[in-house]
Amino acid sequence: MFITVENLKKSYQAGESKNEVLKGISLTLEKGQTGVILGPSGSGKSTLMNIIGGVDRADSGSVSVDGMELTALSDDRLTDYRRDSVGFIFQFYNLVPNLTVTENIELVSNISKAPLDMDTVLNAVGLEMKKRSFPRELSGGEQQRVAIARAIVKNPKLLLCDEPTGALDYETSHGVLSLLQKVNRGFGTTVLMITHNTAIGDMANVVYKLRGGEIVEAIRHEETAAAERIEW
Amino acid sequence: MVLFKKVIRTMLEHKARYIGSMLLLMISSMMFITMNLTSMNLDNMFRKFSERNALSDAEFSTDAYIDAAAFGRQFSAKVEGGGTADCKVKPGQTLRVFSAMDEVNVPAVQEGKLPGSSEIMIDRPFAQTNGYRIGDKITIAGRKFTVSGYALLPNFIYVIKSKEEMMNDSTAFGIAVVGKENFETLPGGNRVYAIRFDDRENIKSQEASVKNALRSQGIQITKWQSTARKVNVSYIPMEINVLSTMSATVPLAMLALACALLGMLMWRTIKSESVVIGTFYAQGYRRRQLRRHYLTFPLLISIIGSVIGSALGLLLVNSELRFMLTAFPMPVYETILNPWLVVFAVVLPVIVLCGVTWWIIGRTLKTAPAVLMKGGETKGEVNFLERSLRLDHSGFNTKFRVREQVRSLSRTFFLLFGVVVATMLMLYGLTMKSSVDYMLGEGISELYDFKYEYVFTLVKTGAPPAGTEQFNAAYVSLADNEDISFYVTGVLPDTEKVRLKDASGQSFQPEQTTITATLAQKLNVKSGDSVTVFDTENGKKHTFTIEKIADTYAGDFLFLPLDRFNAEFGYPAGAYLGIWSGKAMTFAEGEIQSTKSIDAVVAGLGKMIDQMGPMVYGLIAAAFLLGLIILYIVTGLVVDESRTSISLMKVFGYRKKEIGKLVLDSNTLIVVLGYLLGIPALLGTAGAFFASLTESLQVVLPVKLNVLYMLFGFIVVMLTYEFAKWMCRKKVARVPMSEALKAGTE
Repeated sequence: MFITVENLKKSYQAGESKNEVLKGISLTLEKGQTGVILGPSGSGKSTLMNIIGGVDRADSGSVSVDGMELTALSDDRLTDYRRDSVGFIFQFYNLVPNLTVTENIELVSNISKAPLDMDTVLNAVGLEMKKRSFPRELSGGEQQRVAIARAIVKNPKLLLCDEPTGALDYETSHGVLSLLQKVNRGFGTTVLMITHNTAIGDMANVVYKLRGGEIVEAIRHEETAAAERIEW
Repeated sequence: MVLFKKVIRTMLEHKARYIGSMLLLMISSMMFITMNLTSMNLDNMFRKFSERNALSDAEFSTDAYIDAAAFGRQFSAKVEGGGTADCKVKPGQTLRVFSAMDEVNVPAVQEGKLPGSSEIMIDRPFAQTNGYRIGDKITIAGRKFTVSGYALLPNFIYVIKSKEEMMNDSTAFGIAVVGKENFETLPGGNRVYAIRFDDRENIKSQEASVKNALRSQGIQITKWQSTARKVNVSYIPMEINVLSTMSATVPLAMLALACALLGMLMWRTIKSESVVIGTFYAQGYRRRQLRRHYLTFPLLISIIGSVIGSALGLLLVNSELRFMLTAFPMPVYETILNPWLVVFAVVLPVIVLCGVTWWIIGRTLKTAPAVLMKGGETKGEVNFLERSLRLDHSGFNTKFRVREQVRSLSRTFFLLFGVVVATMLMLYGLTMKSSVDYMLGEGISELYDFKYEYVFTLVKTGAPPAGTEQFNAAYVSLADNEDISFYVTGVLPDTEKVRLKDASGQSFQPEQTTITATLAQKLNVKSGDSVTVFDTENGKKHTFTIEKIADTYAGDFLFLPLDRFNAEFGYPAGAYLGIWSGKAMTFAEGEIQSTKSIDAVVAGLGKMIDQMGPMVYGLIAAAFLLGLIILYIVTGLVVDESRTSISLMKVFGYRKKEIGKLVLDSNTLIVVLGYLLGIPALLGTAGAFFASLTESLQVVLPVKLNVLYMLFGFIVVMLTYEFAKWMCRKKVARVPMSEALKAGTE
């Protein structure tokens, strides 16, 4: 199993009250698969993804990615894990506004052990003509493509996508989802996506529905739908 | 009131920025008030002392008695005869005793009373250093006197034995005043006449007329000392000039820095609060209410900064003045406190800072509330420089740092300007030291190959003493500007005592009309040009065509072959006024008008350099503080403005060191550039400044900065930068990864 999460718990202290965000989550995802975590706002899906991405730490339970037990890693090793193994894609792209497309991608390739060729990546996301543009000069869809290029340039084992189409219109969302599917199939990258768009679940091998910090349903698809065919 | 609370909270959130701005303003106002009031008071004291105690325009000695009253009437001047005598008090201790004058160079009493019979007034530093109090007895040249008070003399304000000494040693030299009858009883006295013209214009021409008149009466002038060239007096206007130049430029540079900093901070505050402004706007707040709210920031900072600074400045005036008066003792009439100066020191920063903020907020308030609520129009905008930069072939780290700099041009210019000012401040004292060092090493010691210069009372002919070399000289002023004066010196064409070289370093003999490079620069002449001067002795005009320029900084000279000099100035062939010697010589009494020891000149300048130590270190400390404030604020701004990028880098797996290298080091280029630009800016400013001192200093200071000092300055600047970065490192560490996860930068 590529990702194994067992009995994961996480809570936050807010003043005197304690907010239990994850109440013993367990899930698995195989290498090269696409997983989707579905849930409404406040269900704990972002917290779960942050822990799997090595950005946050759990209170208890275990998280293993590619055989690496994340809960046992020191801060420095966790940094190495994010650096070498994980690609991040955010809802609002998080591009650095004063860096060009190429430079935004270089922000990650700069610290990667074996980054992919820049032209190959730009070609893969269809932005070879925009490589000197600044984020402001791009549409929302193009900006998300840059974010995808930035995430895949290090050739990560795991691609974590936080609401990747949350800020995009229907047409553009299809383009971005198709690109993610292409990356998943072309590079064999394991993709874990969080969204509240249930339709996106059709393109995943496994869908976990989260509510109130608990998994209420796990759905496994024998066959996944092509991204362009998904309707919502 | 609610909005005012917001101002205070915003300021407390960014304490370093606002305290930094206040500090800059405080320093600026403090320096402005202290330096201006000190120079104003010194100037006032000097003027009043000169007028009330009738400072002479010249002092001279003759070989015959002059009817001073008649002579005064003839030239519309006050003329009075008096005398001076250098008397031994103890071994190695000399008092220059002046006879008390009634009309010209009237002594002032600092404490005690004017001397009666067998009484003497001495200068306070000499008295204090050597333990004499009013009422004590002092034996001078075998005669006992009672100290009646402490004396101040308008013609001997800066107490130094000779101009070569530069700094006085009160244990070895002082001045004293005795009544005229008592003076006659002292041995070795010289009769000296002092003259003060009623017409206060064209003093040099009037001096020349007096000299001509004396000669026409068959009276020989054995010594003539113009007050404008007497260091005991001329140092005071020079010091006032230095202070008033500094009091205008240094505080204004600081104020400009404070304005740039606060303008930049306000720009950022308003930009970052565009959502808040939009919301206020949408809820019905009027433009003027919002404008008033944002003007509270500069108003508070400028008023607090400038009022505290001005108050500190006022407190420091007396100490500064007292310090200056220990070097230049003068009567204290009253301390001038110009209230307009304080008003100006407070109002100017308020107007400038509020004006800058008014303009910035005006621009923002023109934007529609809906746009403001979305974060404003400028979010993510790329400026022309960012767009035109092509960095394809550079490494990512370089690209990132360059982009950080061009992202905020105002921040970059502020940093650049700040480092330039700090560099200039730090290296100013060191430049002065280098320049004096250079003048000593490369100027005087290079030019002269002798130890002593003796100037005779009367022109001589015939062979000079063995081992010496003769010269003749005339002190001349430019025909069309009598403020520019210099020596025309006649030297042997095959001289061995004066070593000249041209700009390429090639030695040459003064066989032609040769001018020193500094004088050529001052007169704006080159080879082939003519210079017309008048002899300050007799007013006769002479025109010289420049044939060669000598590359030396030893002074303002025009060299002629001796024969040509004698023919031009009407001396018999072979005549000479002085000799240069490799060893000390003795002469008959009255034979020598003046003696100059090159070693004494060098030692005097060396002493001056030693005395500059505290000033040099003080300036370095001030520059360090200023640099630290600027670098800390700018580095802090870079961190604040890069929070999302820093957070993002942490998410991507950047290590602390890597983030530090990218973000904190992004200013390195500008700091180095600022330092490099600061050097020529300093040298240019110092050049203009030194040129203004030339007349009073009687030496030409070349502007030089030793490479080692440059390196030292660079190390200090980089250490300050590293310190500022170290202080900001915690700020970087505090940026959480959640910042990137929760919000998008675009």
